[in-house]
Amino acid sequence: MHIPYGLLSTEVSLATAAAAAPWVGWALWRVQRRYEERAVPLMGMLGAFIFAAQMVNFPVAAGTSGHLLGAALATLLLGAPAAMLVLTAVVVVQAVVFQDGAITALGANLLNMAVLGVLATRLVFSGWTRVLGTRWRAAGVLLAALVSIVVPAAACAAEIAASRLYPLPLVLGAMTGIHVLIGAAEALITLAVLRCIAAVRPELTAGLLGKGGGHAPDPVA
Amino acid sequence: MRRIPWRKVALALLGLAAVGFLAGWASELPDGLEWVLARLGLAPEAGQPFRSPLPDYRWAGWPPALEAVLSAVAGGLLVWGVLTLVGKLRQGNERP
Repeated sequence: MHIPYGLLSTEVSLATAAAAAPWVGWALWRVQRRYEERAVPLMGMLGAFIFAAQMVNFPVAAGTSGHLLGAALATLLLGAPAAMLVLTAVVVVQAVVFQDGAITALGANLLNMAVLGVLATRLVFSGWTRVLGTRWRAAGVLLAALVSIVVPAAACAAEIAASRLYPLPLVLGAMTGIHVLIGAAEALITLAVLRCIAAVRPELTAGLLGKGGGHAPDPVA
Repeated sequence: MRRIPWRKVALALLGLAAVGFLAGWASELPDGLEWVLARLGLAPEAGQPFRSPLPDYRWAGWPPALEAVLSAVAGGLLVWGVLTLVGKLRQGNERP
């Protein structure tokens, strides 16, 4: 859902940039304050793979395609601030080097995917574990990943509707409808990747999967 | 300066190339947003003022079969570099 050039009004471009900037600043500040050395290589690796994985579009339904966003995966593995930085790096490189998402829409794309995608994951998964403890955490992962696609899609719809003075319910309905399907794929991929990581490096997914107790790891938050 | 773990670096590059290889067969169908825009008749304006060096992950003059692999490796390395730099700078600030 990278917003291309010529879709957003100047007002919406500026407003979304102003909304995204403090979050990226907050993420930098949080990562600086409590940085664990092992989180640096993990951030880099995860960013590289999320970038590559976002290139793999899979057919969804009704003649559309989708691809992994990775916000849920990064948030669950690294915590919200580091995940925001990872997604920010991915979205900026996509826009600057590969013209995937316009430079003029960079603020909106960062707000939707790097900020809201991460926050949605964080809120849903911590809410889930707060209510249910360590029970059915795999389902919590699936739900968090699904919401991490639907919330950015809804924000994207609002930005476009506001820019083009288009009826919001129309854009919102269409955007969230199709992105529930893409979000279902995101959920399955996120859980599968976490399972693979758990098999190789169980310490990275401690508290996310399996029978172990404790809370979600948050090395930098 | 720490020793560079060449084995891990090689594995990571191979992994990126493999995902890029997969991306070579990526679906060309419109994504969710493009599909919604087409359905609602909301065409983006033409005339992008800024040209990226490799628009749409295309490498002019390179074999088309290699473009996705090159993009995945180059883009992945760039993202890794940016994040590592940010991480190191941040750590540097922490311990002057």
